[in-house]
Amino acid sequence: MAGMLKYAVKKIFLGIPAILGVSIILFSIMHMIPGDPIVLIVGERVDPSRIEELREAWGLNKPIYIQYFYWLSHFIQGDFGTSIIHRQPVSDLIFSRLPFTIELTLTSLIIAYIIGIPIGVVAALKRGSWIDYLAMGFAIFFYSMPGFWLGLMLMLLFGLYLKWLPLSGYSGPESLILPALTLALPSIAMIARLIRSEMLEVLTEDYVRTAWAKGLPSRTVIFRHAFKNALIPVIVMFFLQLPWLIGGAVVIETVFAWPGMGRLLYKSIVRQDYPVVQAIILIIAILTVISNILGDIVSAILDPRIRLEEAG
Amino acid sequence: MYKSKIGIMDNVLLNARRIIEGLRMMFYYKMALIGFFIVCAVTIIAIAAPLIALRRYDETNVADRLKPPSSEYPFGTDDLGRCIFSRVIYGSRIALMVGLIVMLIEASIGVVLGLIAGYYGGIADKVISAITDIIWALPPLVLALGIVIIIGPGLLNVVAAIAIVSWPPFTRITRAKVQSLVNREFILAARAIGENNFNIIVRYILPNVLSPIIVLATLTIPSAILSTTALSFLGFGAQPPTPDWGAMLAEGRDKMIYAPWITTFPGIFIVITALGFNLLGDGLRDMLDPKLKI
Repeated sequence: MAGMLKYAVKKIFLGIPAILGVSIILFSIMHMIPGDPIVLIVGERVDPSRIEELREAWGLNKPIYIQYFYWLSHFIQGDFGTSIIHRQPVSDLIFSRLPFTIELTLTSLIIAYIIGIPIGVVAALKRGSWIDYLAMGFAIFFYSMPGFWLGLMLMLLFGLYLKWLPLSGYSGPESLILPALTLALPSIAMIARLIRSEMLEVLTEDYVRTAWAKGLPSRTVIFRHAFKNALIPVIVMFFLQLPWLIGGAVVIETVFAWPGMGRLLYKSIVRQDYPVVQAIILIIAILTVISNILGDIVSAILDPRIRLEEAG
Repeated sequence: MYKSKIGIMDNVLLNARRIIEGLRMMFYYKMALIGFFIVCAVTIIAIAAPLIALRRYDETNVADRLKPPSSEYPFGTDDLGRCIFSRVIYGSRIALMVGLIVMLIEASIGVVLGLIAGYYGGIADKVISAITDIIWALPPLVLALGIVIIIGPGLLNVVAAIAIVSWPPFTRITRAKVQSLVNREFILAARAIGENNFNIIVRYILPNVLSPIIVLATLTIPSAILSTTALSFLGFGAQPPTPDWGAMLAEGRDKMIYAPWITTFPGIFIVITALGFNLLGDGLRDMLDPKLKI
């Protein structure tokens, strides 16, 4: 267990430079945007001497690395600046929308696992049969589909023609179904493919052959010996998928007018509300690094060999 | 001189034999074959677009606005009376170009960095791996959006943004493969006969890391097409009247209720094209490198 703790601490420390690197890239991006931030905030018709005063007051005349540390220290304290459009703290804007994005991404991940795992396992067990071909055909089909188009088609079918579900927006739990399904379908495909290939690999391993040779019932061999080990990379994938889903959520939330962080990002880009854009991208980056670390730690807990490799 | 000529002839023969073997094996993989046919079909459509299309992609016909599919307009018309069928056909040129260009940029950046990191190790490896990890730590679509903010919207800018953020898989796979090769006997032998590092990388290592790169390159094309159409759909990519599939979907989105054909047909073509490359890439992986995890 001590080894485990050491491993976890090491991974967390390795994550810090990654987040700092991303923050530097992001800060530079925001500095390369054409236009003076002060003019953007106070408007063009303000007296130039007043603009100089503000530049002095906000520290925008300082060297760029001072500005960076200034910005970073505020960011760490939860002060992300003020939105140019909404005229309210960026942190308020983001944290009022974050729960919606988390609700959407977690629901679709859960849907993806509940549907994807059985499909992948059955396809692996019936390898080469029509079930396998059908499942993998569907998987690659949804994998090749742009999420936003799938969303539009689902909207057309269930919202407009069948009138079963609300078209878009947020008007209760039933509003969640279409966007969550749209976001989940490509992940279902991915998880089904992953668990199928893992199962096929595990089923050829010596210990599974030994289990068969011992005369264990096939249910025990498949579930206790093979499935449990094939599941490890699939569970780790849960954490690695999160950032991808948040990225995908930008488009899906825009399509379904879902009041989450992704739609806020899109709107802020269109309206050039850069403090919001900066904060959201950095938060997504931090979430990504955290979930990558969690993925590493979980896989080390589930599979002790990884810990030994790293130590040795 | 003599030695290198023999080397080249041997390589050509070996490659030809490999290609024939590959084509023969491809028939065993039905999915890959279907993918291959789809890719060929889309390529032919893109090349012969002026022959297949019924009209110019930007020809407006206000009298025929928002017409549903008919014999005159097989996929209907949009709100400017433009023929959706002709626009979709021309759009295949954009999609293929985008896929190929993004793939070439990504592969060149990624493979060169991967070769350097894997072959030289040490500080070069540490720096390259750190950069790769940091870029990979961000969802590509979000980072690409960030870049588009600086360089402005437009199809070429989107292509550049996507390529800049998506090369890390090439570096990772190349690096891992090179690391497994550098201490093998044939590399040591090459060093022993006095080959320089550049020759060792290009003539001994590169040919041996090609198969995963080919697989990854094939699978990069559909994801590049999907990312570009997503950014075009959000309005950051191709601008009108470019017949980009993503931009067409964006134009048809608010008319979906009374003119669903504007959004339906470009989407179907995106799916078919991406499907073709994905099937082909999967098949190539099964043939060349079944243990490869991409």
